[in-house]
Amino acid sequence: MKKVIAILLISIYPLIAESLTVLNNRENSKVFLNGVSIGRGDISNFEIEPGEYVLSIKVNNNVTYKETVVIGVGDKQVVDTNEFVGIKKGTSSVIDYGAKQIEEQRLRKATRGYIGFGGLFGGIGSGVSIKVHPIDRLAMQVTGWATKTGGENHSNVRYRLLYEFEETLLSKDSLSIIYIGVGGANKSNKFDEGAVIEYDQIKYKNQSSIEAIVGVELSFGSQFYWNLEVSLAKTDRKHEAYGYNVSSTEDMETLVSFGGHFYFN
Amino acid sequence: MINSGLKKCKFLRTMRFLILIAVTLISGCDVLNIEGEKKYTANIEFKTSRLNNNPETHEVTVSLFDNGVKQELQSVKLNDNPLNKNYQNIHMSTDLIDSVEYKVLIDLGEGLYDDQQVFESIIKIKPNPTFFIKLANNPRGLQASATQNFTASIDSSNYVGFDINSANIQYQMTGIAYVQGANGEKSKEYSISNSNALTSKLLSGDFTSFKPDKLILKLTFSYNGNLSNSFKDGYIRRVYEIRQEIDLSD
Repeated sequence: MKKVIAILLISIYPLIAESLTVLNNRENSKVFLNGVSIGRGDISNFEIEPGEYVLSIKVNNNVTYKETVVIGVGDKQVVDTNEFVGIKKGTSSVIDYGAKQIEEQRLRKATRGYIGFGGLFGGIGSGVSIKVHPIDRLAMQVTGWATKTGGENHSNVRYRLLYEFEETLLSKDSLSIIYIGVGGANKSNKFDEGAVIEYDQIKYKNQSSIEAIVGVELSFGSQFYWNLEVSLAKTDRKHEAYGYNVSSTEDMETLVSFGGHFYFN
Repeated sequence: MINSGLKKCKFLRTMRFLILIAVTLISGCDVLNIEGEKKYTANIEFKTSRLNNNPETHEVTVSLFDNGVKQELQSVKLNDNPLNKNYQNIHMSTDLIDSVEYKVLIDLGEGLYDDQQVFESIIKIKPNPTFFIKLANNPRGLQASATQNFTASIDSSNYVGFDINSANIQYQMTGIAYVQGANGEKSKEYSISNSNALTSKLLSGDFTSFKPDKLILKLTFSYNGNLSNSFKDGYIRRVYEIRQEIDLSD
């Protein structure tokens, strides 16, 4: 009879033993309980005595997750560390560096896709914009607009190559990305010839530029990113009047532009 | 009793005499305009016209108005030469010579009380402005192209520029240009000045529903002289009118 009871207890023991499962999809991460490593990546049904433990996850020796876990008698607790929790109540309001990095990457991946549509305003020519990321941090952007109003034909195009070199977490779900780039622009206005013209009446205006750009994109928990940028541009303005030769002026100018893109992923 | 009757009669005669004097004075002042009120508006125009390359024609027209009502004039003299009378206008055709001072003498004629009203104004004729056209295949070429006094026809692929000299002799200019079709259709009228050019699009019919076969240029130059201060209002004006019609060919 004693044997039967012992076998029964042994067979049902796994069902009543306390365990901890840690969901963790971070690459190169180690999971610690009270500072003792218990494994890498996901941890399944790690048997544990009832009590209070500090669960932490480190990536390259940076703490990316830290939480106090209380295991009761018979508890089989699952902790999903993939949900960002960087700040604990009663502790510092500054997010752990490692957690911050992980969260920045998570937000970036979650909110930015391969292609974005939006607009860019200011500088030399405003218009609709398309932004494509052929490589992760590299973007190609083309902005343009064309109108015909009355006797005026207007068109402008702006093209640039951008590199997103750093992102930073502003607050929960708010991400900013700093980018730099180079580009060019061309803007032209052609005026239809009327029945009567003045000799000094403008027939054609053209403005072209090459520019170096630094800017920032901001997202507040969605796939829409606002952007603000400053560019140093070398501009060449030309105009032609009906009765006179083309005149041209070159300048160095600081241009400010703003806009936004919705990214699909 | 008799004395009182005589006194009354003398008083009545005196009163009648005083009333007669008063009535005579009031009506006389009104007829003679003695109080010096200026009541006439005068329009005096010295006009020279030229159609294409034809000789210039000249005309002087004088009109006088009293409170908007045109007055019949007895006679008008231009430097002591009487002008022809045409109903209520007085006009003449005579050469108007640059820099000559012309004196206009207007006689309103005899009135109800044999009063004759004579007014006088003087204008000195300034040199006529000049007007030339220029032709080229593009607007830029017009600047350097030679001026032409008159041309009977131009190619509709041309641009037409103007050389108008009026500013330095104080003429005000209003100029218009338009094209006309073979059946008399007319395009919109366009204002023109020295700084304007007509485009080949106008001449070739891009802005009209008909094929233009004639370009019409009309320019009016004018300046105002000093009107005699015996008039209430009006003008003494010098006008120089040019109308040039140019055939258009493909």
